Amino acid sequence: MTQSNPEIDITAAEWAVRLHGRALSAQEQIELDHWLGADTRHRGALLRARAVWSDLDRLAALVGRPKAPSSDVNGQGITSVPSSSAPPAVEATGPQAPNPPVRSQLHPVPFQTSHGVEASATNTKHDAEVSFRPLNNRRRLVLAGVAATLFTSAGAWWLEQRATYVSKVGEIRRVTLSDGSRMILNTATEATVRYDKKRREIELATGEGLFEVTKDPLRPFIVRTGSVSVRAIGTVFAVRSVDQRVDVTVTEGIVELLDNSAARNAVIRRIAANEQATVMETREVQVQSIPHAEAERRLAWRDGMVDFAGESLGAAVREINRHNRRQIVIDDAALDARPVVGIFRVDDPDGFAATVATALRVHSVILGDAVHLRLRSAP
Amino acid sequence: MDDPARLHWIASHILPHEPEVRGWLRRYVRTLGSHDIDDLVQEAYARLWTADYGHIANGRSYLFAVIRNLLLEQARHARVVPMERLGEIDSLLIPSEEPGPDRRASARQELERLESIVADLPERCRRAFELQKFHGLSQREVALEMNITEKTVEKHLAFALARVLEILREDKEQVLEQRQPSTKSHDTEQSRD
Repeated sequence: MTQSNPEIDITAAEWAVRLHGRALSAQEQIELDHWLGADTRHRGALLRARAVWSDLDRLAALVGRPKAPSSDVNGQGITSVPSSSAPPAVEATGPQAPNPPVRSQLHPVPFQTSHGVEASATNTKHDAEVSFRPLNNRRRLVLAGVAATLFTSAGAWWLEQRATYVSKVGEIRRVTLSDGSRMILNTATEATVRYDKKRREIELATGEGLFEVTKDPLRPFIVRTGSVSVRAIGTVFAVRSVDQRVDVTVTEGIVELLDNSAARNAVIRRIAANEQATVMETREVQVQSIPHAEAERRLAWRDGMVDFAGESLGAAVREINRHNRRQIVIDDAALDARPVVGIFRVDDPDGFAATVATALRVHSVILGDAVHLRLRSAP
Repeated sequence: MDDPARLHWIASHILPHEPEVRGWLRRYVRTLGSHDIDDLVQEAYARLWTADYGHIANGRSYLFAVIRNLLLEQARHARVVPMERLGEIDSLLIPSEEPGPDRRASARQELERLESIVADLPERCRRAFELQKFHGLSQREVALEMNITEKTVEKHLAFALARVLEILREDKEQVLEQRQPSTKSHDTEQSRD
């Protein structure tokens, strides 16, 4: 009866393709209306699917000839970019450097080049090989380089990033990266983000960052410091690099510690969840286990949040107060022992007090530079 | 909503922000499971069906605002509002920083990503997709070229699109599988009067 989300997406995809390709029959229109009426989520899913489908046209238009006449199918001019066999001629049309860095592909490539690519690709077969071959990458880059110069819209739903983020002293800076991963910079930190097809790399020049990594097996997530790097696929960990000493704390998953000076990607050792590794200037590595709650807690404040799981209000208030000038005061001792559950911003005592007031049905009153929590007077 | 301009607007103003919204929901509303997030996202798109998008200045803010309202609605309808959720919605840390400052470079990434998806499709499906999307053939023309029925072409194309939709969702949600909220079962019953 009720479809799961993946099933909804599949049905939405079917309708999106039909609506895009032709007029619906009367019977189909009834079916579609019925499906759409059954659940508002269906409408959203269809709209999303149609938007994606039409957006693929935009992307496809970047690849080659947007609308070739059908007579061209077996004739000249068929581009087959995604197909895997790249004729040798393609290489000659690429940038002159034999193995240029990825970055250089962004230089404008004359538009003629793309025609050259197309023409030379004429006899490409649509064979069944679908693996990535190194040869092919170069060709992809050529075409993509052309596309990048033509492309100015912001309509990118998978993005590349290249940017440096700096947090000031006392500042905690949160950055959502293009793949949904999150990076939280603790005070006085500088981090440069470089994402490309093969890897997601963060260079931590100084300071401390918490990384919550969205899983992508094809693109490892690497945090580089001066001496070591930390490689993850999908996990949550913090790296602190201050005064030649690097600390790595992992709360979820496993990361690999790599020695930057040794042979490429030499793994020093693996660090699992609830472990903390310290790399000294001498590259000596110490790893210790810490309780999960402790690891979480260590990272929670770096995230600007505090996480209470039934602690007493008294203890929670002390924790919040540690981080703020504006203090919370509990006026009625009877409130001290009330349990608090929730995740709160550590730097928002007013928000915390307001939430507690709502949930515990007490009053919060601001007096001077403090927020007071007190029982409501009896009705 | 059979309106190419609307679809185009959504593709350029809403889709780019979906991953960020999903990531944000995952991070800050930990009581949500992955299906809850899918539900919310689909509901948000449903609002766009009729929304007067011409007057929406910033798609990202709009998407966050819609999601926030949906969360608040849910909280209102819940018999017991978990304090956790209340706290989260109240403090609502909608990130102010836009990701991806270097957008111009993203076309290459997108293309490569698309190509890798296409390359992983089953052979016939990939062929149908390429013929339509890269060569601009109509469904009928694809059918002729491949010597299959139009219905089959549609099936292939729908499969390809479903795969793209799946990757859009999956990609951003795998972290969730590892991340079970540790305090989920703590309801507010105990902390209420």
